[in-house]
Amino acid sequence: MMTQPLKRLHPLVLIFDLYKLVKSNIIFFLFLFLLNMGSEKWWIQTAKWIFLGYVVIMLFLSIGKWITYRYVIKNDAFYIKSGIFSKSERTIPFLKVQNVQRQTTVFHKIFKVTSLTLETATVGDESSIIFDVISRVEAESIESAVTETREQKKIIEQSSVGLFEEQVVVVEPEKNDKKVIHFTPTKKDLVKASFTSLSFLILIPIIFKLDDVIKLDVFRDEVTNALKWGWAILAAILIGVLLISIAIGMVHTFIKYGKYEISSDTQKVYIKKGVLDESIFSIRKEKIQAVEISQSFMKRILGLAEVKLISAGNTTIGEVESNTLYPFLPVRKAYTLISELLPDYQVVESMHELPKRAFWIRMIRPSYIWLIATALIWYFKPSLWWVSVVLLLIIYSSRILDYKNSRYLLNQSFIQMKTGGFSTVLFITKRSQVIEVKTERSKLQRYFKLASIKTVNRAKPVLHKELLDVPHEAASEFYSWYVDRTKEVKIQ
Amino acid sequence: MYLKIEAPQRCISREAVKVWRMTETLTNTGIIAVLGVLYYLHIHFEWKEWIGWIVLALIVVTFLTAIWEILFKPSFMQKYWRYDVNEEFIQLKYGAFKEVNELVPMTKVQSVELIQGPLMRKYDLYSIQIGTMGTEHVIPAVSEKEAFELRDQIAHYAKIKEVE
Repeated sequence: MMTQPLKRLHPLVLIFDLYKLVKSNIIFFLFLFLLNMGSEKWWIQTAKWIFLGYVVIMLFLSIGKWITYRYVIKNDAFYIKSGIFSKSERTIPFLKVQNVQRQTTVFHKIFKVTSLTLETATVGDESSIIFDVISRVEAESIESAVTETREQKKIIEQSSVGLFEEQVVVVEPEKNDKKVIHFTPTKKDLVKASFTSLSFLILIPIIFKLDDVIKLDVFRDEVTNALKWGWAILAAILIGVLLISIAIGMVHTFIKYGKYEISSDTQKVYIKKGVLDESIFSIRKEKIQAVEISQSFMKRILGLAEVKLISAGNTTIGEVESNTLYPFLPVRKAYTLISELLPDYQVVESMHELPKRAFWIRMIRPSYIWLIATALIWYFKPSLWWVSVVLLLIIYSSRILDYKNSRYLLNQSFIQMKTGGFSTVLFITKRSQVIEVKTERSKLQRYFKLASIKTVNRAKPVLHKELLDVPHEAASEFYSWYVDRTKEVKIQ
Repeated sequence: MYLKIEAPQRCISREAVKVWRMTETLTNTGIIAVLGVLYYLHIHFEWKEWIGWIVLALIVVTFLTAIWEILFKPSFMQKYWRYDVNEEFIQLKYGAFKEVNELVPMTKVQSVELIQGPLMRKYDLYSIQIGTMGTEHVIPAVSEKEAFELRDQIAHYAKIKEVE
């Protein structure tokens, strides 16, 4: 086992690097070699040479990286040797892998390959193991290696603890590869999504851009003419534009949210999405640090919600967040989905409300934003006094809504906290996943016999959650609830 | 207030008050000196008028906060700081106006560090910095003997790790 040969990355990585290089430098290239083709200016000439030199160096670097980067899987860990000038050797035990992401862009599809990213909770550049290009077979085998060894460990561990008393014989775990698909959006879901995300509005900036480019003013005569023709035609045109923008919005939504698939087996949860660029996010169930159900104002009106699985590793590829279950789930579906995916999570919908005195404390607590804004307005532009009034109204309505929306519940080993004014977030986690807690009582809160409770969870960046103004006794109960975690956690 | 676990009892060293008073006096004198030089330059080179006003305002604000930070804050801080360490948790409690209680499981502690500035050295004090997976906590100003004991104790307990 120790003498396994070190593997190189897939050779297509070189093509991929080239593709990335071209993509990120295409503008320079066009500027230097097309726009200034015949230019004799000295600085254009120098820039051309510098650019060429840069490209050549980058090409050599990527070849050098490919030659020196080698990896092997042994003893439930990755060993990676890399570095052209300064060599480095890394060891990453599979246990430390927090989540796995696989992205298949159009580029990957053309060559029938994929990419794989294993995320750990470490801080810094070294936190993830990235295979930009990898054959699908290899990706599959790495992913199952990460999953399976752990499963065996767990079995051994549990049987030694005695939880498996009767089934100790079953050392070979049943093949749990039966993936169950829990959700794929229907047409109705997509229509709803396209309206909620207001994606049909994307036409508006385009129209403004058009206005910049071809000066719609030219059409002013036509418009006045059209007015003569009558409102009917104008209305028809407007409706036409509206329909087109809705259609474009739908296509946009479809490309973004059309091919969602949420599935799970006994060990992992998988979120698959994307039409052109596909991505699969997968996480072991016990690695899920918390669950967040958030509703924007718009989603609250339509009864939709977004569910996020919090992981201690990175959860973004580029700018796209990959740990969101479908962002436009009907609320009811969201709850059932959580209980289907995570059987040991019990989401209880009836939670404690805040006491009436929490309302009054919110009414008298000073708003520093408002005070500062008002002072500035009063000093610089007193004629804008109404802005201060509007701001006050918004702040107070948000506070009242927050009082109404705030809920909490300690349910055995779970805590649920719901907060937010116009948009709300329901946060659910297990006490074994909470890494520390805090309670706070300001002078004002002590007078009202209230306190704030705070939790900290592992995530990137670290997740702090707080609920203001719960009764004193609840805060104290929260503290003792956390003390009891020692009964639950398993010690290595 | 909190039933299942006893409220922390151990205090910060009384000497800390002196150290904090001195540190605050030094830093605030420094800041006021810099602002004073700025104000002098402002008059000497006839800078724009509003610069002078801002510098003056800053001097006044620094002076007022300095009174609070030198005369009152250190003794409040010393009086209300409590901590305790046992096999399972680190407990911190502090704050005169806003009372904060913190509970950190030992298994989540990643590092312990003793820190001593020049003034603290004079009084044989150390502050203990405890790093966890996501945050950092500081127990300010503990006597040398206690600090070393505490560090070893935390380091010993923190060896135990949970199954993630």
